[in-house]
Amino acid sequence: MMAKKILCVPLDPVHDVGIKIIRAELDKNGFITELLSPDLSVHEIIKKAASRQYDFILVSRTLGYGVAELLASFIDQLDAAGIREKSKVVIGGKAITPQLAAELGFDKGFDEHSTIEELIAYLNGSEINFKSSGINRCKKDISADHAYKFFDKEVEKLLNQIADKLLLFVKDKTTPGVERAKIRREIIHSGSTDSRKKLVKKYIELCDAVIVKSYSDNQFPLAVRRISESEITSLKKFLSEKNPIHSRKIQHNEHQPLVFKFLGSGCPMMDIVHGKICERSGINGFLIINPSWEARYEGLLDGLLTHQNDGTITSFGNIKLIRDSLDKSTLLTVRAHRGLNTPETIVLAGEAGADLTKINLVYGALGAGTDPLRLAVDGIEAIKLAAEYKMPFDIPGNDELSGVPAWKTLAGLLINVMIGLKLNAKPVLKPLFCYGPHIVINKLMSENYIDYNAAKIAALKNIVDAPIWPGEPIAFMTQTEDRVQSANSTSYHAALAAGIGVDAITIASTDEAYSRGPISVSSRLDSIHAAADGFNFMGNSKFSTTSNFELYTEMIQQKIKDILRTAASKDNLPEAIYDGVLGSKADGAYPGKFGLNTVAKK
Amino acid sequence: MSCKITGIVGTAKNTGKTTTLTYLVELAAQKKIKTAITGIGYDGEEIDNITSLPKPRLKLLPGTITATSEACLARMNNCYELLERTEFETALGQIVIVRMTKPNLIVIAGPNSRSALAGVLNRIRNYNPGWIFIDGSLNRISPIYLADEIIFTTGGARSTDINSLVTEMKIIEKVFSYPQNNLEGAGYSYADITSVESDFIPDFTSEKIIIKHPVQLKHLKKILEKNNEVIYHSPIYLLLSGDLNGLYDFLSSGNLKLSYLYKPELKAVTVNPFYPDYNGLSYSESFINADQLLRQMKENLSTPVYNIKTDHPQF
Repeated sequence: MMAKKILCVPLDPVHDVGIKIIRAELDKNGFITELLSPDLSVHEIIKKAASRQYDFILVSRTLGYGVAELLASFIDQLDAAGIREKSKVVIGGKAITPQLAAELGFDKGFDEHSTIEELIAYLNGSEINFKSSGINRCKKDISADHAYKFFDKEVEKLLNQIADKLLLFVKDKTTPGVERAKIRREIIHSGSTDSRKKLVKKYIELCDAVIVKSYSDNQFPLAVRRISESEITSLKKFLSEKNPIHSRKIQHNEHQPLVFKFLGSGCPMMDIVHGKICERSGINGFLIINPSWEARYEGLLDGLLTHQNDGTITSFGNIKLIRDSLDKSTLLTVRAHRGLNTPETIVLAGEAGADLTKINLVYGALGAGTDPLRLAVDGIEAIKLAAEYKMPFDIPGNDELSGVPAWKTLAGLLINVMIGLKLNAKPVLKPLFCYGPHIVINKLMSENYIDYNAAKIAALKNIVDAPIWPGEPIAFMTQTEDRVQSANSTSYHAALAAGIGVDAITIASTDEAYSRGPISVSSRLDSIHAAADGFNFMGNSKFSTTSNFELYTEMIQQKIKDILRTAASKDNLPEAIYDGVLGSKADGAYPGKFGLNTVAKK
Repeated sequence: MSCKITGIVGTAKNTGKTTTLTYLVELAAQKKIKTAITGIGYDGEEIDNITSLPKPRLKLLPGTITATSEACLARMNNCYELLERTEFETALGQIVIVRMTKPNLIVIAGPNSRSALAGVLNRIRNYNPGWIFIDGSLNRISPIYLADEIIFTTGGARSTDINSLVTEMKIIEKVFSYPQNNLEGAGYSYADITSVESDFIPDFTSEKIIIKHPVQLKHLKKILEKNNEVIYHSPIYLLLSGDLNGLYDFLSSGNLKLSYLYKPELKAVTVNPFYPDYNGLSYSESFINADQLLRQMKENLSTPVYNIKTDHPQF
């Protein structure tokens, strides 16, 4: 086959870098290319184009004010001179879309995100066929590459003791939360209206009055309402028209972590729209965050519901709507561990097709959380259910934000890991990349933000081979109202995560703490682009640490062992939590009180 | 059955092509004329590809034959019948010919070159429409010489200076004032030159020179000085010379023997006061004086001038 002849035209008074790079790639791939200088008039370019039989004329131009008219006129003159009968004319540049290429009369358009492979495929007449919808990627399993092998045998032994004691302790116990989870599963699978009614009646006997009212009188808590049919119709129309294509990729290489964001505006439809936009920018997954008051009530609302304040209602309908609306390759996590509905939330998430869930028996029982005994019983049931639904569960270490030292938080995470493994579940460690109170007071990050964050990860890696997913989000308490600063901070922490080698990260939007309402789409994109830029910057290299890194790693690992020894000496995990072993009142952590005295013998 | 082809050409983007076209489609429906539509490029989108401002949408009626790129039909379920696929490609895929079965808003992405437009028009004619519309794209005009008549749209988006808009349309009117030449009789010879190669102009032996490609104005002048009569491709190609003021001076300079191989009729001019105002960051909607624009344009042109939103011409 004859090599194709390509005329490269930088239709730009100055900038010809892009077309030079493209030309070099085309040369390497056997095309015969000629590059014009960037200062030629349209007449001179046409004269050149007419002088020889070119197969393609590649025009490079950044779109700006008045440029569209120039390009259209250029095409007009090529057409009138008869050149279009012998050469295809292609445009590439920033802001070029297929629609714009068509509008200007070009045969094909490539934007800044197009790859050289796509261009070469087009020039060779074997155009890459993208799916007309969908974002063309596979769903990842975060736990897949980890054997859960313990390297620190002493820690393994202590964790075994703590986990075994706890499993024995809760064996003969149940709670209204555990019982509701069973009924909820029956409700979802109930065939007839009659049996459903009977089950709902049984269910609401175990609920608080505010939840009961929603079932019996259709009365919802303040600022909650049902989503209307027309709203669902509009959403479906939007989704059918705006399915993202050609998603960007955040990761620079395949070893870099997956990137997650929160959803939880209160309105599942807004969550979905934001979700679709984030998918287009390459986000790998989302965590649904529920309203804080959901944690306080026995029982969950049912149906497609919107909430006018922070947090999206954890109902089966809402989770399923979000799951079904997101791309199949997008991972969805549902937070379960806070409050009195932990096992039931796992049932809802599992039945609705969520991929992961979130359980921490320690953090969920500290800092205005659930009574430790109640959460121990509920949490064990929840982990069993997560294993049954094949959902890995992540264990957030956000108790560090209350002022708990990292080693106590990490000890708590490890306890959850061992319980998870004993129940055949797939636990995921979620240490914080944060500037938490204990760190501030003790000046642990006064010299740099790398050593201490990296030391937490290194300590965990020295103990066990388990998936690690710094959250929640990374850069917590390092961000300000300045969106540029926030994006930078996300970028640095994402780069650090990539350099250390972790499985995933959660990133905050740049207005996460300051939006004074729902998070804006643009600030979501800020942080995604910031993370992508951090990954690109870091590539396959690493940050360098100082000697403090080794000191901190050793200190954290040693102190984790100390904490676990004390915890193992207690009768059971709830007692250790009540006694402040994993976070004391002096640290700023208080055992939770919701669900106090609700644990019963089976 | 006779079939008229009307091209709608904008002097710039956002000068009212879609609004004029929508009016024509409705007019044809009132007159019970079967219509067909295609376009050069891409039009009918909700949001402007450049200014990001909302645009008027093109609504087609049942029965309209439409030639557009396949990608534009993706969202139009159950409102058209596929008649045929063509071999012509655009940046948005293969051009297909469909018949509308329900009223619907449509995006037209038609053929992007004169040869492809000629091919598509031939296919469309097989379905016996009484009136074919060619939707122009941006200020692209070269393929539109294939039309029988042309309606130009102009307005604030081209220039906010009404005087310069009037001057431009006067030049266009002047360019269209020369007759069609059907090459009857003998003595014609083709000049094998194009604008790109004609730095050197040969001495033509014939008195009647046919020029099929656009040439630079300076060369056209030379040929007309040396020879007697020029049969130029079309008024459209003359407009492609770019230098409109020079063109006007040249055409006004004497009794030129100029005629055209393809001569669409200049049917009308429609004016639109809207313009996208750019503040350095984004565009917003603005308007020049509509009454003054219409009045001055009418005073200076012999071609009919309309504001399609307020007038109701019968064409």
